[in-house]
Amino acid sequence: MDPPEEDSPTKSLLMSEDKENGSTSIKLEDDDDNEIYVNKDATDFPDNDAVDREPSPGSSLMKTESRKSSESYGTFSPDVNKGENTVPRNLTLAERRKSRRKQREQFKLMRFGSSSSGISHFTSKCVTFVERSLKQAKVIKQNHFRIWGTSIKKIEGQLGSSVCTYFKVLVWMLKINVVCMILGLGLIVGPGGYMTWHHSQTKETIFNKDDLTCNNPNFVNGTGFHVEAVNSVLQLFTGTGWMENTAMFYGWYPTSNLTTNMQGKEKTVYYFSLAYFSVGCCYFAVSLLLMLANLSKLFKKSAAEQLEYKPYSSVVFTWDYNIADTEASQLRSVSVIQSLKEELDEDEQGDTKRSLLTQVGIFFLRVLTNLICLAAVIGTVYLYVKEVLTESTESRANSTDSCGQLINEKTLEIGLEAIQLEDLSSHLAAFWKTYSASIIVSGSNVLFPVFFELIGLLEMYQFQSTRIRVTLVRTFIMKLFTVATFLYLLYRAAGPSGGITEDWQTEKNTLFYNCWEDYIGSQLYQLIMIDFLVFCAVLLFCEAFRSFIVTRVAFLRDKIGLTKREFNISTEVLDLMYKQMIFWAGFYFAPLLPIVAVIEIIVIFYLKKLSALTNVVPPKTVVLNHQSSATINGLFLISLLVVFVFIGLVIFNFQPSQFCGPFRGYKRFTDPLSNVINHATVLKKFIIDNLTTTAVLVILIILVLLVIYYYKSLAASRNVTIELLKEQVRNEIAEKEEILHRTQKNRSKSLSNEKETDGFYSKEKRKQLKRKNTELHGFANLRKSDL
Amino acid sequence: MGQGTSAYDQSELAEFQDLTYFTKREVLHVHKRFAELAPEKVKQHGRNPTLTKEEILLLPELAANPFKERILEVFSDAGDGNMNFEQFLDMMSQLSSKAPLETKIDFAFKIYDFNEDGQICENDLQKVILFLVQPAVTGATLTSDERNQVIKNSLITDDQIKKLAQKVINEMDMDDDGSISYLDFKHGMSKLNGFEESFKVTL
Repeated sequence: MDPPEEDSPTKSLLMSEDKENGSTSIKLEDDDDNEIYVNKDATDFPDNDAVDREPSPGSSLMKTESRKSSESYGTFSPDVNKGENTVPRNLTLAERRKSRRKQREQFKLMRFGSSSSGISHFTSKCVTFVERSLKQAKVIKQNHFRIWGTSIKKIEGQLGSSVCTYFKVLVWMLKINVVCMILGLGLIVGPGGYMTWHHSQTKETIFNKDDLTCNNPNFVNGTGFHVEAVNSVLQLFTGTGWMENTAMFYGWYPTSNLTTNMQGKEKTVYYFSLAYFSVGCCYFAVSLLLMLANLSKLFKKSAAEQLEYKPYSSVVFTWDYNIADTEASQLRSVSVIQSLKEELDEDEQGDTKRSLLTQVGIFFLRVLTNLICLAAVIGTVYLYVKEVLTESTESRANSTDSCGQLINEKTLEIGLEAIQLEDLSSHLAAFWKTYSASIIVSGSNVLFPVFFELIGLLEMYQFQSTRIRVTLVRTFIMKLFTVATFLYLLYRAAGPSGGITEDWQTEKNTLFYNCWEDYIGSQLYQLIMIDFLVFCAVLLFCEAFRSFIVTRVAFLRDKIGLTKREFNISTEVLDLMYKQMIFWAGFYFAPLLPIVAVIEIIVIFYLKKLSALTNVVPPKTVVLNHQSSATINGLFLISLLVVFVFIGLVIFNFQPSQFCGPFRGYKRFTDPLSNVINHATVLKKFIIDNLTTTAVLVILIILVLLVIYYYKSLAASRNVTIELLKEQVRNEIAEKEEILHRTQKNRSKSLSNEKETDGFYSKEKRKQLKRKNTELHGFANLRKSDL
Repeated sequence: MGQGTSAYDQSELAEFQDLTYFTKREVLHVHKRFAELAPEKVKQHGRNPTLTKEEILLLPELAANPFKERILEVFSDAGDGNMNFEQFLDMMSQLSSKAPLETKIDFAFKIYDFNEDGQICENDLQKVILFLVQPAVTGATLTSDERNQVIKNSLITDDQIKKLAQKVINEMDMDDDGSISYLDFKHGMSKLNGFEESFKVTL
């Protein structure tokens, strides 16, 4: 026996292929030749607890843990390749139990025989105890703390794994928003609230927002308690009125810094403005980091699959065993057959399927439909912009009141009419005026996907997957457009108040909004609320109502073939992405928005779960999981970029409101940061000044590009190596067979009269090798597109 | 927990935990589901009752699976689908999400190898495809002749099935012997990302 070495990892105890490991191990065998290596210093028989095994990453889409390969129960599946093609023998439970017991006894004998010194015994026990408890904590965390784990399993059972993608995206969004919420609460709301309370205790003058609420007239004019109540409720949805004075929006937060009196000198402990600014940046940084981490893991997984794309095997051998519902399995079976048949058709016919005339016709048709889509989107956007802009310019035509607000003749008119007539139409007009922007955006989000799907059907694509992808791209672009327009309008609306002018400490009355950040915040909040209401309405009417009809009215189901609504994963996930975009945009202007976001996500999850289990039918075409999750991540990144650009523009081009918010008194948003830097020590200032020059930035960018290039070429060279190795393997197998064939032939030459061709490889074999080689070079694997 | 704790004590549960991929709690849960399938038998025998194939197929997670009978055949001792609790536990453990990829591949290979000759040949593949079609035909189980008849008439032709089987073999077969050996299968499935996620049954 070698002298014992230092490290003795507990989990290596069970690996039968443990020879590389440096620790000393003893081999225990039993009658059936099942071996186990036991560490010499082990004090207990190595039980194969759940702690020592890593659970498989089946749980979440975006979270993929690296798995240790090899672990069966170590000893219990010996790779006994007795013949050429035997399957490794797995013992049954009873047999395993028998051999385990024998090993335990052997271990006891061994332990009993040897003696070990007290201290080393004690220390090794301590070490193993600590390691085990850590692992146990990890297992508990993975098994019991998976967010919404049981719900997702239930949904998976009924609708299949692809629908689960949606819910896993929800889980992941929840995580990001919770992180943002903790950041915001801890660093902004907390100190801000404390400071406000502190100041109110000392009975200083109010230093938060020294103005009245400005952003909207009341909906129901009149007096009385019920009017107040209705107004308050409505204002909860618009984010104006009483909501403006709460911690929800930017304007509430104080500008001073948290100071303490230490040794008679005032020392600033917490720079609030700086904190607000940095937390705003952190939201983006944190979200970006989380997404990149996930994306990199996903890429690793899907890259391996891209190399060997097996369209048939991947469908035939991956029946989803999670499905527990007969109806769902029926649908899945239909879709499997359909995709197999499609694949077969494509292979056989290729692009000679359609005549030249048809192809040209289809080409023009598609150009036309694409133009129609583009026109529809641009048209909507244009109308929307025009309407909102004319409204606001009209409203600004006349004088402003002390709020510097939109109140003008037109609004006053409506207000007056409301007082006099209490007419439904004037209510509607006022309603429309407030909510027009949000309603248009939410409405287009719901209607456009349907429109795009119809157009997709019209375009006569050969394969469903291309059609789905095209629709997805169109919907994504549409959503991006609408949100970008919305943000642009906000930018323009806030512009006049926020622009940096010469005399930047202007008076109130010439501004349009006293607190334009509040305005942006409340508009975004309003959008979120309306979007949520539209979401609920769609759930109620399109899904619940339809399923109700389908189940009760047999006529529709049997004759017309109306079914429950299909769960369209791509549209739903894009909807989630859109919501997240709005959240991100609003985080900076409304520090309590993360809480709203978290609550909304939780509510959406439960509503959707309910709907998915009862009112919805799984989708007909199945989208491959890992490819789609990488795409989804990519889309989220793009949306983050768009929002980031918007916030960046706002921060750098606009001047903070002078009368509200934590940046009162500053000329720019970046002033607090500059102030702190300027007051820092000379050395720090020197470093920071030099670090932010363009030269350094250019060097950094070049470095990053170089690193990317290096990794890319590394990947390419590895691909080449893989191809070469594959070829080698095939050649060797062919050689082996040829040798076998020859020896057999030599043996039976006298007996048989078969003719023999010349050459080491027979003609057929050469042809086969050649075919395999061309396949390796990817020609046969290219998907013949129909565009 | 009723029948669970009365049938097995702590040391046996610990042993089960050692021998399978389940924790003690999960073992009890599996026992509960097992007992629900045939409460009478479990009450009578308690320790290790043997349930018939039909009774086990009452489990909804298995009932929706087109390969259900094959799964049971692979895991039962006698090869006819009747199994006792230990075999059931073993089966569920290998189908759980904690089982490593190699175990699953091994298990899948056994399922898809209908004639149990150690290779997945063309016939086996054709049977696999037929089984895949079966849920689409009707929800009920048909005999194999009826099934083939219906399938030929409606969803997929014999010719297409043959071609599909051939294509799968072309893709997966690396040593060019016309059928998929265990090594071919293992190599192919370990590269397929969807395999691991789809090949599990959770109770």
